[in-house]
Amino acid sequence: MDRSQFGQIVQQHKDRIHTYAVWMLKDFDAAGDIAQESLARLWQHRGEIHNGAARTWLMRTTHRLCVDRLRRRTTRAEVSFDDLVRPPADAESGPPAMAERDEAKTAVLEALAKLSPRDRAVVLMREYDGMSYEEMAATLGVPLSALKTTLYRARRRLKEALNGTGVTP
Amino acid sequence: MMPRESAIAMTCDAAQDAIQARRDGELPAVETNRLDAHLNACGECREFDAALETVGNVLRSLPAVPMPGDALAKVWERAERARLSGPASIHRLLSWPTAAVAAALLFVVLVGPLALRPQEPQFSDAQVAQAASEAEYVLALTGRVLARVEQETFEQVIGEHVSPALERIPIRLP
Repeated sequence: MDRSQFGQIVQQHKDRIHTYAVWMLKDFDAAGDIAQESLARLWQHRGEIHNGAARTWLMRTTHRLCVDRLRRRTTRAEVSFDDLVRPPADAESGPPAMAERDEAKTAVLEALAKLSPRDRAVVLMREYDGMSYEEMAATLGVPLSALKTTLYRARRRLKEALNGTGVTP
Repeated sequence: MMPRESAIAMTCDAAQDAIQARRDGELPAVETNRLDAHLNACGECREFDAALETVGNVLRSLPAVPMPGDALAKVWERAERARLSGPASIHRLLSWPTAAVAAALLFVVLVGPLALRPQEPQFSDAQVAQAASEAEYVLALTGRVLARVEQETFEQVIGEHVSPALERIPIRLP
């Protein structure tokens, strides 16, 4: 991987890993720090990683850094999910359907925030990022069967947490 | 809740696994009819399916959060700082053998012809020591030159390829 190829990989994946970190941590500063660290580590280890593996390697590194950050976090610098997804001001007086969608969105994000980091990670990887089972298993370093068990259990917990918000699908 | 073993031969646990597998495109076709039969008879699993539909719709609609433009420059700073300070940096370890090979080649080119000339007198200890000292100097100089070239390339990448592209990236918060 030379500098030009690294630049291309950065352009392709920087927003993806940053977004993942934001949704995992709910903390813009920490997410930016982790995205930088992941990319810097990719550059440092470029001799060991072929270009085709960079996507999974970056996601795995970002995920591990996020989990580590969550474990070490003593003070919560989180922003509200509402702040992350708040619609533009001129959309706030939109039709009732939009209000319902916003209500559902808030409920889902609140439920997501109640999950453990690992459960939140698998749900985000699958539902937001659209990763395949195989890619998720490689990213998390677990067998495919264990990945399915984790994902299915995480969704059940998400459904339970969603019940607690009082919003019905 | 359906009984764990029912006449339609699918428990709610199995049905909720199958619901997820189907949403992920992983359910074998042969299981589809069994799942649909279960859903026709089980309101709780239909609700589970609907909840996953909502979750999927919400999460897929979340906005991307672009990495701030100045953050990429910090990536390079961080990588360079790690290269300079990391004692076990692979990059650093690779640089010195390269410099050593370059210095050895220079030494052979400069000193080799002298050594091969039969009419030349034998070198004194002082001359050998001086040659060794000069070789060390060449080695150090070569290392510095390599580091300088690397730094310039580094700056070129930042200045000519990465930063302009970043300037075109719209930075907006959701």
